[in-house]
Amino acid sequence: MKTMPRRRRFAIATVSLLLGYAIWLPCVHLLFAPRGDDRADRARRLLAGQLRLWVDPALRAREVERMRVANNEWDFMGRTFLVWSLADLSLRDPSTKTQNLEVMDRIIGETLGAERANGPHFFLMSYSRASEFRVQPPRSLFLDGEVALMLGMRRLVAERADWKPLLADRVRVMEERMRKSAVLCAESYPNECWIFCNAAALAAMRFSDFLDGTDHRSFFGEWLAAARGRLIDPTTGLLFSSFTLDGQANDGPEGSSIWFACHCLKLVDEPFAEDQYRRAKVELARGGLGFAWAREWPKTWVSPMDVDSGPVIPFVGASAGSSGTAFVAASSFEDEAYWKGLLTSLDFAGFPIRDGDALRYAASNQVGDAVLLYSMVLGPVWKKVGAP
Amino acid sequence: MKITLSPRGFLVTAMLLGGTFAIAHALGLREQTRFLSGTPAWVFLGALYGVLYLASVLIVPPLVIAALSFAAIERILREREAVQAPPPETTP
Repeated sequence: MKTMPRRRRFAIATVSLLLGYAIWLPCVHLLFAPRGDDRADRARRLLAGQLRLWVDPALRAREVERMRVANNEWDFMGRTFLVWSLADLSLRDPSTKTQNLEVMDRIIGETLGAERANGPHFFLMSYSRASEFRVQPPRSLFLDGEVALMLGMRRLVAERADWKPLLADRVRVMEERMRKSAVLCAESYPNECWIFCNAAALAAMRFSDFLDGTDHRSFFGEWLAAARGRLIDPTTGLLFSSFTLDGQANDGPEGSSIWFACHCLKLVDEPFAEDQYRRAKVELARGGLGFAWAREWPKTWVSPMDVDSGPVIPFVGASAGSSGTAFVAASSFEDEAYWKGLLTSLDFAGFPIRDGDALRYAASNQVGDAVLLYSMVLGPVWKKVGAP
Repeated sequence: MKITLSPRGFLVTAMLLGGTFAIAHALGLREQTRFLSGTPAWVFLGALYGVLYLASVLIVPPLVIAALSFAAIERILREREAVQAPPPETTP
């Protein structure tokens, strides 16, 4: 058989490959796109994966050790996001309430015990010891805010009288310390305030108002005025992610912070939270060909990636940390299109592992899966508490 | 085995990539992709798995489509050349 000239073969090969990609690329997302709204089923499987860690001490010890090597905060946040998820699940399906409360109480009890026994630095990164907290005695709003939210959510599902004073005490201390700052924000690390933690603290105060009849409306108003005046990046209109006690920005608007902050601020001022979400979408949300992801920083803010960002995929700028917390915001603001795109990307690049009835993502870890679980079940608790 | 610029070459490449990914998967390298979340892992093995996975999702299917397309174009060109070729000379 006569062979084709080399140049012609090359031309045909090139055309064939271009055709292959033209057909395949627009279809790839169909392999990973969720079939309908499978949130409930996915949440059930993720929860099964999370609960395995709480019934198998060896498995949990291994997972916690891995996370603590990278970041002590993850050990803590893996607990808080799981407790918050269980609270929402309990309201979604009251038949699971008793079992969920058992797990919530165990996690909260162990967390309070670890904090009591080891001090505030146990769940913080090592640089928390590098200098002194400006407001003494040393306390981190990172812990206070999220612990208070755990206590509040637990008590919302079912009252527990012995934890009522614990929530009241955390809320009182948080407000006292926030009022010592020019921008009404308290430190998570020495002279380092985070919008993530301050928004969580404000949400916890709203729980206190709802459950115990305190009234933080005036404080919320003062906080919003300070935030609008001193904590907004003028280019993007987004809240800075971290700043000093006197409001000097350390970092610009960081995806892994702002998405969660938007969700928490819904309990403080819904229009402000929605505006922040809309701006975050413009600056940080990206997508194409049926996939969606989130950048860690807006294009206008050049900043190094940190441990919260996770590794960032070059060219597209997709950040694991930002994309993970974007799930929470997309779900909270019922942004179905963005949610579906994020989920498609997760199933494409998150490397799901189905083990019996349990689901986990190999590219993630316990805290990452707990955040995903929370994003799939959140809603009923926020709806019940609402903004003032 | 020589891989040529041909439909067969495309298919062989696709099979090699798919097979290598299948081996990496069977060896359990998927677990090592946890480095993507910043969790300690064997980064090289995780990255290798990630590259092979991307190849099996983003390169193998287009190669298979390209192989089919390549074969079809070749056949069309050959048939056209056969029609256009002058009839063989005959002796009186």
